[in-house]
Amino acid sequence: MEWFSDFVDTAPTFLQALWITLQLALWSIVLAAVLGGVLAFLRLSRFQAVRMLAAGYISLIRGTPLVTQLFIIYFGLASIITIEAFWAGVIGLTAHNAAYVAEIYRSGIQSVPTGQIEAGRSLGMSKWTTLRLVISPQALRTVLPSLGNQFIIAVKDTSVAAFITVAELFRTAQIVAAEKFRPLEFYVIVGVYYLVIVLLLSGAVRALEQRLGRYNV
Amino acid sequence: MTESWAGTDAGRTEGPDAGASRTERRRSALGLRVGALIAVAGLLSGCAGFGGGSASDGSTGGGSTSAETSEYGLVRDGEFTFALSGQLAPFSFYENGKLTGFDVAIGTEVANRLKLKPNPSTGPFNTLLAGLQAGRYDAIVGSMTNTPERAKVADFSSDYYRSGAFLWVKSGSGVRSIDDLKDAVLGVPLGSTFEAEMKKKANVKEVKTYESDVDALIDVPTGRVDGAIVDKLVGAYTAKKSSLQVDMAGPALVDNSAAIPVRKQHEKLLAAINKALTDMKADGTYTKISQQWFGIDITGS
Repeated sequence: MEWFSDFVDTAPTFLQALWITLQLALWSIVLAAVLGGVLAFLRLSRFQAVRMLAAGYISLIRGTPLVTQLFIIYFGLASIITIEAFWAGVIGLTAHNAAYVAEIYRSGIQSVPTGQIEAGRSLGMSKWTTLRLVISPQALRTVLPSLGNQFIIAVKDTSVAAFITVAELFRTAQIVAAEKFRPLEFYVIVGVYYLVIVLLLSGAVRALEQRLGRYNV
Repeated sequence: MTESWAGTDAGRTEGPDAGASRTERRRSALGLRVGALIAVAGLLSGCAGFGGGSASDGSTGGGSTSAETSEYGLVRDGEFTFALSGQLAPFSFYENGKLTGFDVAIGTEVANRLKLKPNPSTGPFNTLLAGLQAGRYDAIVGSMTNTPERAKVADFSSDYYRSGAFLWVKSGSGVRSIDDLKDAVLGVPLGSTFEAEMKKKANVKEVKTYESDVDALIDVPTGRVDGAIVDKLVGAYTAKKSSLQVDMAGPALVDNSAAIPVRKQHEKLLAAINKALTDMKADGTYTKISQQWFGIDITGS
């Protein structure tokens, strides 16, 4: 019973924080989806220097913890440039997710048989048109499950922004738990909020998968 | 998850909560093995007549009778396990990878007077009380103020120092007190007593929470906050150490004395701690420790 009243009493506070979490997640997922595409494109470039640059970026990001990246952006860069906590979070999460998304895109593009590309080219399509009409649709269908998975991780990773003072869900749970000295209740409650977001997101991804699945042969 | 992120420097010597229990398990496994070894050694010495050396002197800084210390209900036998944040210079912080500071010195001195082995353990400040309740520590010697809310979940010793929370602003900002601020964004350490107080103020627009006093203070010169509510002694030490362009403004906002909380129903331990504190002040040890860290006696500062 106390759990329920804890949940109801703190709902206004948590819903406010939920909105911040959703904004963080939306910004970073949308931006990462775009930046990841650019990175994947560079990663598959004809020029070795460009390929290596993109590969270097991906290794750097994947090789360091997200919390380190956020701390560098928020606390580390403060001596050079001051970025508001929320935007520092968006920049860090975008840079982080983009590296993973780029690799997912690349795996999708490379999974399309060369015959398909050759067929497109021999029909007189330009490289760009082939990418747009032949490769992308097939690649997207293949990568959708991994992409959905990455976005789910991205949603949960927004919690790391708590440590650079963004008052999102997890930081709010920390504040409430410290105020009321009941860590179990409020960390479980905040877990439920994340669970609901993730379940909704996975439902959306599944629906999209089914819709694209119509083109299965 | 909290600990692994937030306890970035806490992990160096004493892991935060989760790590500590792991270490403990490892230690007890080791203890078993050491025990077995001692038993074997005992057998050997029995047979081969190695004689002399007794293998049973243990490793605790003993001298006390086990009957006396068992009354304390300690988390770990023969050890005074006390918690602090490790992120609050000069009270508790890491210097060259070693945990040190005023609180560490006080906790160690108390342990010695209780004839126990000092065992400082670090974790984020906001998790300390929960950890104490969960039986991870015997006490918190971590600059914690006795408040009515906190007193509901733990019993506090007498105060071991007095300080105050002050508003710190950017140098040259012209702000003389908190009332000079308008639509202010204020930084406070997470889980501190200031957070609720500041939210009530009409001219405070937003309260940002930081992992530690130091983190809050270093964000003042960047302008991301208009001011930070930081302890006087911590602020002065940090500002001097890292030459921050910050000034202390106005009167003390919150009286900030520090006491040592122990778990409920540990009256024997609490009485022993109180006696140790009184004795330390009486025989000059306290003044010595205080002088060493602050150059002044901070009992009633």
